[in-house]
Amino acid sequence: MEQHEAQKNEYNIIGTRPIRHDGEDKVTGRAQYGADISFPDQLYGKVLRSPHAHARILSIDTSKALAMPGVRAVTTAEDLPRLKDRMVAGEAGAENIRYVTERVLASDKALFEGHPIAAVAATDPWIAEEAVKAIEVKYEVLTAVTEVRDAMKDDTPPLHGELTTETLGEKSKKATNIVRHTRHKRGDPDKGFAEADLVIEREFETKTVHQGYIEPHNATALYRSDGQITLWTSTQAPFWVRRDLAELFDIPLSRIKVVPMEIGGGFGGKIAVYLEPLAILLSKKSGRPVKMIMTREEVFYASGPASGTVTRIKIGVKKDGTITAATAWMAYEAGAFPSNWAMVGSMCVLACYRLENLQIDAYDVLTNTSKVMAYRAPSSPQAMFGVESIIDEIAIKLDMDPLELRLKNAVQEGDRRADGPKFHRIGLKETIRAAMESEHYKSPLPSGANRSRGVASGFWFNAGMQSSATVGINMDGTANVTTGSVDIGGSRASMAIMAAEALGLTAEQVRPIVADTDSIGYTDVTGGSRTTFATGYAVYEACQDVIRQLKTRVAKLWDVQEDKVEWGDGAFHHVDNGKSPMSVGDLGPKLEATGGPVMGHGTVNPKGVGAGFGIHIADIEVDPDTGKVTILRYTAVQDVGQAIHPAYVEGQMQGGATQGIGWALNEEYIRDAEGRMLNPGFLDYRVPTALDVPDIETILVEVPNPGHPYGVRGVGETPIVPPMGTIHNAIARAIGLRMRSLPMSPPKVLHEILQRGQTVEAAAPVTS
Amino acid sequence: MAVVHIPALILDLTDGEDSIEVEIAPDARMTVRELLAEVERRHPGVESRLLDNGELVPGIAVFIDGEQSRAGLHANAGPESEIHFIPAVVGG
Repeated sequence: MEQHEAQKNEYNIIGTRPIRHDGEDKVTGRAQYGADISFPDQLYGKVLRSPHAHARILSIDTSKALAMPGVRAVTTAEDLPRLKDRMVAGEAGAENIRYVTERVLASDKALFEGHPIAAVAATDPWIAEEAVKAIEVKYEVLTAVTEVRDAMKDDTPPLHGELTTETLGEKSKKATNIVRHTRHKRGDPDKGFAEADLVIEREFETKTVHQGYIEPHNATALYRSDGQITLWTSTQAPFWVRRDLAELFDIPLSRIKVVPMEIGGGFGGKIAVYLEPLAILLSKKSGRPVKMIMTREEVFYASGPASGTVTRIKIGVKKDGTITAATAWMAYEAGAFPSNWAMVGSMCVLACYRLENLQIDAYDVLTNTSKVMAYRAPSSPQAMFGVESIIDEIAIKLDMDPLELRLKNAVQEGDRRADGPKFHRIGLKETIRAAMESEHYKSPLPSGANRSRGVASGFWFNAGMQSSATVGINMDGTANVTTGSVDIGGSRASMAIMAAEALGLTAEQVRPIVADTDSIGYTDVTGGSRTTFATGYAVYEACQDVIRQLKTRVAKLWDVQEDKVEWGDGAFHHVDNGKSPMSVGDLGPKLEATGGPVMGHGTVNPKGVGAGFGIHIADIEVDPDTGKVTILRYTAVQDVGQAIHPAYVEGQMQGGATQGIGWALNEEYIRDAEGRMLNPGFLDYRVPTALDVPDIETILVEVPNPGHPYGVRGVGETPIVPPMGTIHNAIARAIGLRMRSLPMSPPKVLHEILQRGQTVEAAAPVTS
Repeated sequence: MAVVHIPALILDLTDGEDSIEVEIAPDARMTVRELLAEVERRHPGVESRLLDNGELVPGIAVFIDGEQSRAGLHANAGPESEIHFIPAVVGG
């Protein structure tokens, strides 16, 4: 790992690499995941799902299933409250609760393959499976539309008869599958293009992809006779699950307790509810705990993947590389219910570049596919893929170094985002320079045919939002830190490190705890790269609360006024040096005698979020006989703010890059003409394995975020954005082929090579 | 002067003006709702596109000086503030 420090702060614990507190449990299998939950009287739930991507439900007969021995309950949409249209908080803005209900259990129409129709609870999972098969459903099969371009056509029947296009508070009159139009505009793009010496416009396509988390969705529910509900589930957002369930069942939040289990990956896909309401309905009907786990196939066709997209990007530049104008037209698959991901993509697409003239138009489009959900920097990878391709094409045409071109046009503090607000302190320029100075970029390409090097940039906003934390001081001076943030990427360790830094302890002296929704204050999702920032901020505030309380105790012990006591260098000091310093460790045994336990509380809804930027560099080789792309070397460079636990920052960068490499090279939902997924398993849906990806090198550029007491900016999402452009540009430079459709899989690359009848003359490879 | 930036999709309501300046006295504050009312007074129709039953259109957030404000329409703006109405973003 190379480390670049744009600004150095001195810390004792922050920046070290202690062993994670949950490490042993994870590697020994003792950690409790959703599948590990078990009750003596539990039932097993299974879901009957639509085999059709689009069908009217004519009838559902559950009588034969209910009559089977061992079956204890069957539920359908009739058991859910019929809710009226009402906008409620959702993962990407707001969503209509009526559509959430429809997504959870279909009533009139099945709108995607795998749409739940009914669910069964039985004494064992095999009986439940047989009972599901015994449910008789009559369908009228309708034409399915799964591609964005098709869904947008005027003559394509709208999925929902009543939905029209919303254009910022105004709705079109005609029902359509285009549910939202978003626009950002600045300056005069036509004038900007007229001033350009070179204008390039291209169309790009990406396919639906899945987050590919290893652990399937699961939920175990107990609906007690007093109406209280306890739910054990694998989720990134226990408080959001509680909120969604309260909305769906129209009951108070206080009746629901959500216990977040360890999570085997989420990446944005474990935020919405799927099995949770079904398990609750079945538990209510049966009076017993009900456990449900999706199969891998169900995960693929019935959870929330990332949008397939079509984008058209146009960029104009002067001969010296200055961008004069850019426009983007973007259409994103929404799935079967309205979502906002094109709107989000519109805010990412041109984020890396300083622009005076721009226009972005983005459309969210309904399709007969499962509703798309967040996936690591949601919408940014699809948006930036095309832009990064054109930037590379421009660099070749202008005979410029592609990083030099990016540096020339890079945004910095004070520049406006495409959607308007000005950036605060950001480190894109520092990141580009670090990439240019890297050993990888400076080194020659390994010799060999059809090899080259590509680079691309990436952006993600990062989020703030609400978090709560408590810090309790133990009688021996160690501490417990409790938060409501599910630990996905090592956040227990980062919370412990920040608490240790604040309290003058070691990371090992702090025990981090993830609490359920009854046991900690409201905390938003573990997502949006917000946890280390916002929950870390709450931990910091809770520690300051502890220090304030302990200061009183020290004053009592020293028999002085509080203003004679100050905190610094991990200990309390007498301002006149009249006493020996006292650490938190010294004070632990003295708490009982000085007033009792000390517990600090921190709740935040912070401003000061720092955006994230990254540059990736890839050396690749294309096999012209098979179309296979081999990655020879890969480096991820990123402004990470202050790295709290550098090993986990590196892990996030490596993990994000790997997922992006899979998206770039192999991953896609393949569907038949009826809209059914043909590859719902890891054998045919090809995620990268250890054999596909080299050791990903990382360069941490530390530009501390002034909006956080420890300079934190989110790091987890940005690294999934650059790989598509990076690899695409490397392929183009290796064999002169611009693959404008993802994935750049062997059959597609080979097809393009054969289509052109030659291995086209390659552009100069990128090396400094 | 506080500056209220007008979303691109409703520029037709402001004759193409993409930002509207509103006078706020030094040391004084106005809520975003009050600023919006002033914009509405000058350019009728803007409010109805940004508000739904008196609240922000679902999915749209208030940004003040580059920061998303959770207080939304109740947030305070000062004489140098920049206000944007743009989508709220979370992430994965």
